[in-house]
Amino acid sequence: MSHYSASRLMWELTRDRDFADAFRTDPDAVLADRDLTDAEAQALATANLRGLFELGIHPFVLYHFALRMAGGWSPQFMEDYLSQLAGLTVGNLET
Amino acid sequence: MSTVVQVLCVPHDPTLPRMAAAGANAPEPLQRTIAHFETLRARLAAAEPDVLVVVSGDHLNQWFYDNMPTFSIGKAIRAAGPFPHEQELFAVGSYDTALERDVADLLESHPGDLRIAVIASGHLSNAIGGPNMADLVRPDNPWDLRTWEQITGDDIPALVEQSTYENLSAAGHGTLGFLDYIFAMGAVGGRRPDFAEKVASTAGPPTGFLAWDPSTTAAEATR
Repeated sequence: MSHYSASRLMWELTRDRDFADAFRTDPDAVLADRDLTDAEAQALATANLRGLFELGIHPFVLYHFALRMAGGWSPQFMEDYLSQLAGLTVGNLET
Repeated sequence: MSTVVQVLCVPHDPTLPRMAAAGANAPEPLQRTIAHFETLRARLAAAEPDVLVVVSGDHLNQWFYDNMPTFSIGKAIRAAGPFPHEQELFAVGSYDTALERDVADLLESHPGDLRIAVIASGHLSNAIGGPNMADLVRPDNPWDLRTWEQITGDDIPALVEQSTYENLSAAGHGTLGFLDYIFAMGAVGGRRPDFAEKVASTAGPPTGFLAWDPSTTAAEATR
């Protein structure tokens, strides 16, 4: 499976605050233009970090996407982020 | 002939500027980290370099999977940053610095007597965004302990040999910013640094600071 489209979208959202705001307001409108599996689209629409990790998104891409969705770094962000990945291990990251 | 007058390794954790801004309110280990930056800043100033060679990973800031150069060399008379999204996500300030002299002018007026400093911006163990990100924030992280012993104990050639993608990944590294440090160790021919300070605590990722003055460390290596 290719995770490129999902990873690419997450990277674009990380880099572009206005695009991220539009995504928060209407994720389905953004996702409709992308070549994503249903599982990827659903995980992205709900910002399901654990689900995205399990789909094989690179942790670095995931972390910055989460930062963008949360609005920025804080100790609380770190705690919340890691609690969502508790018990997981990095698997195959091939795109 | 140009001379490498200083080689430095410094960490580039983007949460550090916020800690530096906190000053005396920052946790004590992070104050030590900030102080090491000041020490190396002073060393760099004292070395009076004409040219800075700064080595670091892109970390998906500028390039993505479809357009990723293995190596990229930038030449500039101004340096600006961080990237806007880094400023937003980590609440760090921006810089836009005119380098003192146009590089072309410099090269023309100094046909071959430049003082060069190499700065490697990277990190020790880290797994940014990975589930084990917190596991590596430990003073007794085995990889960091062993690596620091190798750096300070004349075992850098073995460390370079062992620092492959596979080995570092197996040790829990998620991003391989340690390879920036390896670049610096290569630049000094694997010699032992004359400044080596590591700050490891539960307050943040381990930070490592290394410095070489190649003229003195070269003399040391011939003993």
